[in-house]
Amino acid sequence: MQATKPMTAKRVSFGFGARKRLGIAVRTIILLFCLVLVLIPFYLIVVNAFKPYSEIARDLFALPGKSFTIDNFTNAWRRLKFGTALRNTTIITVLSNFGGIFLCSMTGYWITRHQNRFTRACFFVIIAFMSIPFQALMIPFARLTNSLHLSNSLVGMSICFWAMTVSLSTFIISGAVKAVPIEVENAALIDGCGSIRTFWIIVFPQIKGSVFTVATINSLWFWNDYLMTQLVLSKQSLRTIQISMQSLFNEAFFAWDTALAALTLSILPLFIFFVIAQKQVLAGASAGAVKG
Amino acid sequence: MQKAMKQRRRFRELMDYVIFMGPALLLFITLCLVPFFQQIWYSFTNWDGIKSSYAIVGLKNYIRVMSDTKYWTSMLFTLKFTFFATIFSNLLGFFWAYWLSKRIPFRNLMRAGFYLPKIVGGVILGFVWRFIFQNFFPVLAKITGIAWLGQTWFSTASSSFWALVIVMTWSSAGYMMIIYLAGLTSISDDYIEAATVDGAKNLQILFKVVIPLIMPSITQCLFLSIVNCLRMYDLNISLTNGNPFRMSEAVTMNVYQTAFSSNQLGYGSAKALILVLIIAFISILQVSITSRREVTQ
Repeated sequence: MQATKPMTAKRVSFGFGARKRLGIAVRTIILLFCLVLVLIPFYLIVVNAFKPYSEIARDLFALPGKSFTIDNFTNAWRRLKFGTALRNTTIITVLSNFGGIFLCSMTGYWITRHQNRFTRACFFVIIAFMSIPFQALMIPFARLTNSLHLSNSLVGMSICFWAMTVSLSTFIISGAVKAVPIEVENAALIDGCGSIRTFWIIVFPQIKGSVFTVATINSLWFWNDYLMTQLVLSKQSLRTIQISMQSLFNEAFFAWDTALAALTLSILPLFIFFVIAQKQVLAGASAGAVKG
Repeated sequence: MQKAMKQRRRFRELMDYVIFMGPALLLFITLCLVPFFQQIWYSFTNWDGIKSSYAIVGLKNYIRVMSDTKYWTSMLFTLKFTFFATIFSNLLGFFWAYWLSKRIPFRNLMRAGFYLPKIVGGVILGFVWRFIFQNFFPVLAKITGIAWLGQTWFSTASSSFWALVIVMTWSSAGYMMIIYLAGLTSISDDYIEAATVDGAKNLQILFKVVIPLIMPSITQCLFLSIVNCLRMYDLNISLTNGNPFRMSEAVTMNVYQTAFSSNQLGYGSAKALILVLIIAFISILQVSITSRREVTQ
């Protein structure tokens, strides 16, 4: 790494010739074309969700126009019981996030600040577990949650997520704690501030950035999880968005117009989340890349 | 007196350990480690998941897996799927990142736009694409004149296979792009400039300078996509659901069927653990190959 080198001759100094500008234009056009291709599915789903089925079949690309309808959405809302599903998914995501961050930030902090044989062993096992896919434990897991009375309860589901996120969250947070200067903490401890207060008042505000990263990675995961959720929650009133979508698509009287509205409804919350927290999501994408 | 104080301090320190690490460790052990070891244990038994008694059968389950052709067909399917989906999503992701790392308008918009498919997750991803394959691809076939695009999707083994590859590529290429982009922007301009001064052409710079320098990102991206593809489940059940005739069934789906639908928990556990071993083997192999090519800046 040689970051301190003076940047005397940047590439810009070669000038911005006509050929270079043409190159940029060509690249931009190709990339925009790719982007349009990538985004077409979103366009098609959303636009056709506002049309009756006959119109969808007639012209896939046309905007709704005269045949504009929101019937599909009212149907989808009713059939998915979207209100309940949205509520369940939100409760699980929020509860899992708060609990996960609460537990793992304390653990990550303690492990980093108290290096000894015990904490290092714990850390090693926790990290090693990141490389083990859920498939390696899912069969006993389904029965275990049942006997621990975690199944068919939103709190129980969240507790499962707390456990599953220990690996990744502790890893990222302990890395963040390493970057926090230890002097202030020591001063606080000498002044008689307890370790719990020292952590929450002095250290936690300084690792907020990483906490947000963890929260965004986890939110996308919790919100979109299907395999594990479906093993823990089987009651109809506790369905998450993912589970109710799966049952809607397995129904006998399946119609694309309602289904498209349902898809739009399910994607919308995450889309809004992405627009608001875009910076954190993209930062989290490269930070969370360590998760196998 | 002093001894008592020392004892009290030790007790307080112990309490701190319990408060800070206890809850997370307890959860981690009961819900992650215990089921993991239980699954290893089950794989040596003939438990059906219902009866309370079961017998230890040694390696019988593993031997039985060896001759289970359906399992190995789905394994082969998964490996083939992983191969193509990994290559396509990484090529696309790298290509986008490479151009976006240079001076270009709308960079942030494109970065976010390419990443957007990644937020569509779980079974919803497959359902979105069922619609696209059934309705948009015939139109696309007419526009481009490529009849292959207009085939009846999910009715043949090969169409289901390529459908899965296409969707996985769509979903993860933008994600790969973000990681490559982080690697590319950390390359010091000096290297590229030095190469330019020495008269290197763009392609030479790409292959001789840029790619060796972002080898760590390549290692990471390949690892992520390989593992992610090998354990695919949600996309599999929502897009093809194994159709036609279980010919597009990936391993996790096969395991799920065995363990939960036909109530063979012991046998299913063995199948799942073989998958885990294969995932571990392939990813260790890949990481050791690509990280050997890493150079330090």
